[in-house]
Amino acid sequence: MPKLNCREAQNLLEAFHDNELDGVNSLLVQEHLDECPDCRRQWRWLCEVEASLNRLSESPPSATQDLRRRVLQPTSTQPSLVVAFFSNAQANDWSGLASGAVCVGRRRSVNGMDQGRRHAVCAGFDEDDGERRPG
Amino acid sequence: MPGKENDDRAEAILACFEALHRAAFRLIGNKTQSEDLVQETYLRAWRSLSQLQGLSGVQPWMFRILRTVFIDQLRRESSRPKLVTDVEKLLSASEELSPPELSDVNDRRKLDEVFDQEINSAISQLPDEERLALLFQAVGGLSYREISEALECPIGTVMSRLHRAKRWLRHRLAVYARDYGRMPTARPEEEQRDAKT
Repeated sequence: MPKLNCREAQNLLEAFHDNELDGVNSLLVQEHLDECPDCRRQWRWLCEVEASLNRLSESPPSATQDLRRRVLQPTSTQPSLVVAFFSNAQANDWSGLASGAVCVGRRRSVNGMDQGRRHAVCAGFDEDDGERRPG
Repeated sequence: MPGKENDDRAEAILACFEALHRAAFRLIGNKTQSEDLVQETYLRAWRSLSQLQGLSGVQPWMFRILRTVFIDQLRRESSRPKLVTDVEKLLSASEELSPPELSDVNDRRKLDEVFDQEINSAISQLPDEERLALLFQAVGGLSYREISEALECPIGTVMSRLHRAKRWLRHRLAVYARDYGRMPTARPEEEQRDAKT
């Protein structure tokens, strides 16, 4: 299996972070990061910026009740379920709606790779010596 | 359409509300205008509910409508100035910076706050399609495949747009870090030394 050069590896770092690479490419990127201090530094910086990006969704302004009403306002084309739900819903409680429907959160697992593991990989390089921490 | 099927579709599109609202706000940066965008998105979705094919594709379907409404609004505001037209051109014209070294930063919370402000500014300067791809992923939580459905483009195009957008963000934050003297940027000779020790 041919190894990646730095340019090839860096072109794949975003997809690697996002768990969007297939197993072979994911392994190739990981191997390159294990061997290349320059790309490890790029990887750590990428993780810093990705962490800032993730925080964008942690502090959104809450939607006004007026918007919720406008979005859900029953019309002749809306199904009866919405009308029933709207009349029964607590003013600030949409959890019942969300839990019963599709998942809208960030993907936890894509291509068999777990997001938590990826972040562990991200944090798994020692800041000082560039070596991976054991375990 | 059978009632149960219609109910399921309605429930599914309503479950997208929070993600759509977050994305719309980050896309526009204005609470009132972003709420108008979400409202118009739902108006069109309700009208087209019968066209939704299967519940698994509901989220990209809703984000595709959001994008269409957003683009329509941009066309109506054609005089809106575009700050950045080509990320590659900007990046190639800029000085290539090494990643900042963060290990010696004392106040990480403060640094995170600074970065969070700066990243909003950097995102606002991205071209519309790069910004859409980035926000659909980072805020909407869509996968590459779902973004490709929402933006009606190949996955390879999604990857290119995300790559350009994130390169731009990393560059902007690195410039910020260097210019404000908060962190030194690593020089190649330091990299070599690190590698040997």
